[in-house]
Amino acid sequence: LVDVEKNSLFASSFRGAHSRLTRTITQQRIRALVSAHQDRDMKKRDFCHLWITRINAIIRGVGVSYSYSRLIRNLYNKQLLLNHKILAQIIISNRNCLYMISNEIRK
Amino acid sequence: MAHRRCLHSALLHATALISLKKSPSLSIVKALTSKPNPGITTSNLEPSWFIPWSYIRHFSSRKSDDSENEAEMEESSDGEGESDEMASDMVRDYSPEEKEAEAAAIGYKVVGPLQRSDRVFKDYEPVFAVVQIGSHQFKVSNGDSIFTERLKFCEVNDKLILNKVLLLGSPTQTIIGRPILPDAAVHAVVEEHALDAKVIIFKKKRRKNYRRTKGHRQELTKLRITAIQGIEKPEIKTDGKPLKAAVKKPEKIAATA
Repeated sequence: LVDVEKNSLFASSFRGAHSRLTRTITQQRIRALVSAHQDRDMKKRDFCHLWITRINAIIRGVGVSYSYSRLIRNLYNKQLLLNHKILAQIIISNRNCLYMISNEIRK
Repeated sequence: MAHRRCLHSALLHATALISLKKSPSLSIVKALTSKPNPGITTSNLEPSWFIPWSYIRHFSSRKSDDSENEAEMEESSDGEGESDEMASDMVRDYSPEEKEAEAAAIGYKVVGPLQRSDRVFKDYEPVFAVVQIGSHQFKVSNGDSIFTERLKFCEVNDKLILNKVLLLGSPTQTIIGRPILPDAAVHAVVEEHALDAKVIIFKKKRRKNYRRTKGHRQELTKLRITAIQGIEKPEIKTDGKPLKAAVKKPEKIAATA
């Protein structure tokens, strides 16, 4: 591919003039690359937020005044190293395993 | 003053290295390259410490190695053996096989022999394990494939044993490790060493005439999980391990779950 074609191929899915006019193609391409760079870091944050929210939602159903923060405090006290990603996955796939973990930790 | 400042930052980096405890030499090289360059006068002041490290200094042209080695020696004697391996990893002299085994243990894998005519791939069992490789954790089951950071010292079709297992689960039983389970093992086979898709690293500061473009492909290893050991497969059996921090679900509750 010639460089000009590479440029317009990058922006071929953009809307309106952003995929047709060469000057705006270069501009929008730059903005897209910058956003991609930033969002690669944001992606990690976003997923962590998501997992925390999910864990919080499920844990609050376990008992009265039991919450995500208490779960994490208990995890650290009992020296478990499971991270948030794994906790969220366990919640969704094997709910009973999570209940076992939380019961074991609460003691 | 500059010497002390450099030493201080070197100490920080050294503590980070020692506490991280992950093998990949990429991270170590990154840490070393990111350090500032102290003066060479540090080496003259403490020559006695450099006798064991001198072979490293020959191969790596970075002056930052000196103060970092000083800092690591100051830090702890536990870290000595570890930083020895890490520095030698950078040197790429893996002559003794024990060093390979130790470095593999840092990444929580043990390389078994190459597989020839073993039938390793069984059917799916509803048992899962949470295993840690480097700093990433994976919830794996039989027959899963996993992309991890590039694992050194193993080629394609090598059998690995991942021994940092944090959790074992099955429909009837959950075994929690604190933090790891000592006698659980997950067997895997290296499927391929591959490069990730290319990401373009693009930095721009507007109105300042600054723009940088860089492409990056991360090196990955694809593992296929073949077996999980340390938990009863779901035939209804009960055995108690109360001392080993195992949590078992009694069968009555299991029946209702």
